[in-house]
Amino acid sequence: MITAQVERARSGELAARCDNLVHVYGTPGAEVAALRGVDFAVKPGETVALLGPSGAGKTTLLWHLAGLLHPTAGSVEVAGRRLAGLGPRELAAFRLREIGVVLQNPGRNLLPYDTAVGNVLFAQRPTRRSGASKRRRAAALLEAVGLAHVASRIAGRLSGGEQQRLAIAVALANSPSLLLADEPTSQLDPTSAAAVLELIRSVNQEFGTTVVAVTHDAAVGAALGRTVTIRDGRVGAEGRSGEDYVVVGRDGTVQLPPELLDALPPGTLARAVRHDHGVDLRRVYDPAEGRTSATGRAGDEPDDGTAAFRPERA
Amino acid sequence: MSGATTLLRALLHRVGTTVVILLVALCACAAATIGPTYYAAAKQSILQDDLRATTVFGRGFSAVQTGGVPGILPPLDSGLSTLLDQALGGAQETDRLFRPPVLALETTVFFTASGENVPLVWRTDVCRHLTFRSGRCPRAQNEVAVATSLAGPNHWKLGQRVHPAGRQPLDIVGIYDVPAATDDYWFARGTTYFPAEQPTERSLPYDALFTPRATIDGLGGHPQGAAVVSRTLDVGRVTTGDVDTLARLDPRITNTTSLGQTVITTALAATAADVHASWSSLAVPVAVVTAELLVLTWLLLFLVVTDAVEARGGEIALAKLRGYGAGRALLFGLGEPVSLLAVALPVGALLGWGLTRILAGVLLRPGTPVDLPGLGWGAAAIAAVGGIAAVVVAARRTLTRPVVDQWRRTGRRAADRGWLFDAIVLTGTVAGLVQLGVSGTLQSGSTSALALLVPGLLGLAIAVVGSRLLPMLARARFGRTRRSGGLGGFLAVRHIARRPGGTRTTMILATAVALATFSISSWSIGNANRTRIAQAQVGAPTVLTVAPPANADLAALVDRIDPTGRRAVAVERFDNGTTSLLAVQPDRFASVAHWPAVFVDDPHTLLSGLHPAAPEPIVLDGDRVRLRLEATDLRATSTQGPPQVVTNNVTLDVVATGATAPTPIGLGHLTRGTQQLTATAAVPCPCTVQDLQLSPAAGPAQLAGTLTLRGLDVHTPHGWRPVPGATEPVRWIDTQDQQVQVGADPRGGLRWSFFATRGTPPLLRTHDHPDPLPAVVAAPLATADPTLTTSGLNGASVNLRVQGSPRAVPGAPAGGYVVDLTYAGRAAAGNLAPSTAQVWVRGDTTAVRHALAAAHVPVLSVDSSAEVDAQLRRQGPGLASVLFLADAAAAAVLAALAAVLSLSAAARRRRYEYAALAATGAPARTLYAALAIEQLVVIGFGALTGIAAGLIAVAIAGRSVPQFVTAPVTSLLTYRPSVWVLVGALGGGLLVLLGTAAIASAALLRSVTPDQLREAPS
Repeated sequence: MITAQVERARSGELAARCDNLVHVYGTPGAEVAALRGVDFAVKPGETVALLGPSGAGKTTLLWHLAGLLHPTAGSVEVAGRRLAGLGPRELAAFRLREIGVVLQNPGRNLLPYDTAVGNVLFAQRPTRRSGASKRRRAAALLEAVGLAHVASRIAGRLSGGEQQRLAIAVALANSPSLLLADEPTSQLDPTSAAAVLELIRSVNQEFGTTVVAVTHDAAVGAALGRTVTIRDGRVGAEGRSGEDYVVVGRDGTVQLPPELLDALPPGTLARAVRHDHGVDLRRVYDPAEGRTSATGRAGDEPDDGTAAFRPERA
Repeated sequence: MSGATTLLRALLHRVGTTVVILLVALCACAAATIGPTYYAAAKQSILQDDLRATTVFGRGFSAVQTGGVPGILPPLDSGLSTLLDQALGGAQETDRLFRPPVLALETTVFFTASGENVPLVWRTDVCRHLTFRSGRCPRAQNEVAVATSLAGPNHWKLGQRVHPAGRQPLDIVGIYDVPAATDDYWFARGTTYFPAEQPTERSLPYDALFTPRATIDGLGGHPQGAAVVSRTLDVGRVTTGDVDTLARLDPRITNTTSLGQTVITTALAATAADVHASWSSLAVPVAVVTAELLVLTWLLLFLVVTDAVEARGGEIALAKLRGYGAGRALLFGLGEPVSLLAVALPVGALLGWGLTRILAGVLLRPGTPVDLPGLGWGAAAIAAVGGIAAVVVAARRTLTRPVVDQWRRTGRRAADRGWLFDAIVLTGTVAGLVQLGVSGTLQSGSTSALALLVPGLLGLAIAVVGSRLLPMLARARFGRTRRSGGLGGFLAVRHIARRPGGTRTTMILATAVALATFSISSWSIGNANRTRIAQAQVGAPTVLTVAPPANADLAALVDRIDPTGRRAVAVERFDNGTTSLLAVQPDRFASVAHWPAVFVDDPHTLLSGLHPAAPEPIVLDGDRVRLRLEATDLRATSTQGPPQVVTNNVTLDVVATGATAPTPIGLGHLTRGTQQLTATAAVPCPCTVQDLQLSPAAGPAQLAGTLTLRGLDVHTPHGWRPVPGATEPVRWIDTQDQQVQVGADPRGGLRWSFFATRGTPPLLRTHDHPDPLPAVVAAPLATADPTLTTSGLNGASVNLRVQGSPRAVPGAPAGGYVVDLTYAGRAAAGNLAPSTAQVWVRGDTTAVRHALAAAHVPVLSVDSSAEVDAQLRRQGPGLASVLFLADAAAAAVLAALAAVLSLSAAARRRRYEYAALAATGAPARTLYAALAIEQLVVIGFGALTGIAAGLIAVAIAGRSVPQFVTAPVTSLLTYRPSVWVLVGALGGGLLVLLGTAAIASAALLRSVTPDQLREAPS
């Protein structure tokens, strides 16, 4: 499995890719754009945390990656397959083979009346492997997530942490290349959350599984290889190796980090100045003060009223 | 294995839903099974009832060949057996269907001493069917058994040798009591063998001599007589599959030419036709009722499974998320209900079979076998397949919903049942009702089992509209409950208006209650009418048809048996084919006969006028009679010549007790002057004088004169004694014209003036009864003219004067005349032979039967209104009404259960909401009130809508529901259901339902605590 992931990485094939993804929810009397042209790519074996405020579109993006939604516009590819081009049967088979999903509520991932091992077997049922093979795989997974001792316990009677670990085991039942997790630690106590996080990391390292997790939890973001912040339906920022970058949208839009908004508050008139390595934004009119900046010339070094794009650092 | 285990765990996890689905599925399969199983058993029951109720010719045949007795029987017997075997497909089949043949050789022997022919009969195993008062069964040639009725008058004794004219002497070795001769063995030959008890116009006066076959074979000369072969069906072995065979057998044997001049009499084809008619009257209702219940259970299944699958939406979404394809997700989503249906199929079929056995035990003829036919299994399978279809339709929405939608907590909207569905249902039901109306099914006066569709269609139509009205009515209360400030009502009306699936619950509950209301009503109406008709047809709780000995006075016997006058009444009945004359003891008849209020309010008053005062008859009791008279004026005239004196024969017509005709006692010639005429009584007296007649020796054109009867005497062992009252004018009929005038002679005696023409000699009739007879007449026979004529007990005409006309007469509902027994007997000149003697009994019949037996009055047959009532109930319409009732009741119970569970499930989904309200300080009582009001309104509205729909259906189609195979007198029928039964059944059911809902609500709310807010809502 690791080999497959590495081969995909070497071949340049992405584990997942969204290309100008737009999604509009139609509700009676109104339409809500949840995603507004998201460009997003995940390399095989990468671990990505999707961050952002509530309603930003993180979960919608995750559901698109799981093939649960049809894009209003744009496309989603997973493991090199364009999901919109798959029929229902192909999509189900593809999801079975390539995608594992962990939902937000631990209980929602499981059949509460079935045993832990039964839940893993339930996820394996559509595959054509032999029963013995399935049982071996289930036992191995439960061992891997530390639930071997409760394998025959009814899932509904497990603790929240155990249920979430079991949910991960279930999601990994068919050795997917992509593990999608929605708030995997949100309803867990810190110890359980840490254990789950460690599990995700180990899954990534041990099986080479690509992981995309939606989270509000900074610890999750810190623990994963890359963070992608979704704001207002767009990819607003990305963090790598502890440093955050804004992301320029396909239409040139840039979402400033909140901490810079006091320098360029909404309504600010700014001058964009090209540099060799990017563009400087220099405030020329401050709507709060109602005056034009005296130093609004191009080529000046940015002060506290300037946002600078340094593409070479991205 | 893993899948099965998971399925089992899921079923146990949702045990409530599992039980409900299983119950409804079981009900569907059981309901489907009950129909065909019940029908098959009922067919057998009807067949057995009809075979037993018909005449012996309806369940067998007799072949009679007349001619010279020797050698006549063997060819008849063998020829008939061959014919039967050919017709039925072999001797084995013949032996299965028919009992062994009963053979008989019948001839007569003449006894010079009595001057009468007496039947001499050999019959197979006859001694097994006779009770010997003394002696034994004749075994050797020329031995005979004689009847007590023959031995007594002829002074024959055991061991005596009697000498028939021209034959070998016969030795009397046994004296038997005359049997009732009503069982199949005698095959309606009772009138031939026992004419003394069952006289006919041409019968011999004495009962038969039974003898071995050798006696008849050894008779010298060429005795004429008859060979008889009778065969009756072994009724218990006849199955429904044999009916058509027997119907075909009838014409084949009656039209055969292979047996020469043999007369074969049977009514097998008529019986088969009756059986088929009764079956037909059951088949359509069973199909309609079964179909109606099936559709309802499918609707219920749809309702329950919709909720169940909806509740599993998350799991189904999970399956899809795990890569389950559409087919596998469908399998997973429907696995539970489908597996329950798979279990329900055999279990439901067996349950239906068991329930049918119980129903059959109560309703059908005792001992009726109840098998589970292939059609029953097939029907259960159809129910299961229909159930799966309902399940698929119910789950379609959930199964096809996108996964993401399943996770959104928007829930279903209350109005998820579209107007399109309502429009389709309404259009279908209205079209069905219109079709029923146009086809004449609902026309007054006609009956059709299709009328049973009306409650279902009407109930569904009204329920569809009603179910839409309820949320609207609830919404109309939004403002008021907002302003009133009460949280209970506020929550209740909003939950009613917005509850998912609420309209479906109302619709199904209302439809089921409509069916139940209609079925209870039609059942109670049908039962009341069947009881009423049974009572009217039979006339009394028990009617014993008896054969009193010739000299017995049945009325006096009944007076002795029942001194209270309330338990038994003697009835002589004459049926002339269209009407019936019932001669009764009026006061007893008023007490014993069935007189429901619909007939008349006070039968005692009605019948009190039947026995006005009338002179007693003139009775002679001696061995000789003497008439003293004086002919003061006796003139005969002819068309030519003057008046001349002629000689007249004087005849006194008398009737001995029990005799069938008057016996003339010739008193000699009468000439002018005082004379004393004496004669020996030609009949054993006491005798009743009927008339005094003059017969002119020659034939004058006219005869007129006046006679004075000075006295009428009888000779007794103590000498001559005057007959009391014989010369009182009131004892003789004065026609008030010149033909007969009577009066008291000043010198004592009776003066009789007469004028007669040729051919109608002077006749002075005794006056011992009112003429015309006072009568109570069934309303359909009453006319504007208060006097009418009908057949008397002797078959001759009798005049009646109508005293009253109730709506019906017990025993002859539409064609009955009731008269006084004593006067009717006198009007018939004591000749009661053509009439049928009966004793009507109310209460225990044992004592009456014992008393009759002690008086040597055999009981020929017993009719009971309860038994007729039971038979009517066992006929097709009666059985169908009970099936309809049972099915509708089961459907109503299931619908009610589903309603309670649906309401509870809806409330359970609101536990989080209730917990939040509890956390904000809402009192538990308020929350309980909210839930209770919601359930009361939903259940109450559904139930009341259903009751209203059911009652409307009763008004529209109640008269069209078949209640009888053969239409009875419609004026006696009622179409009003029993209010008490309706109130008891529906009110009780509603109270139980509301009580159950209240308990479920209380249990649910007890489990609601603010702590639940810590849990994530699922």
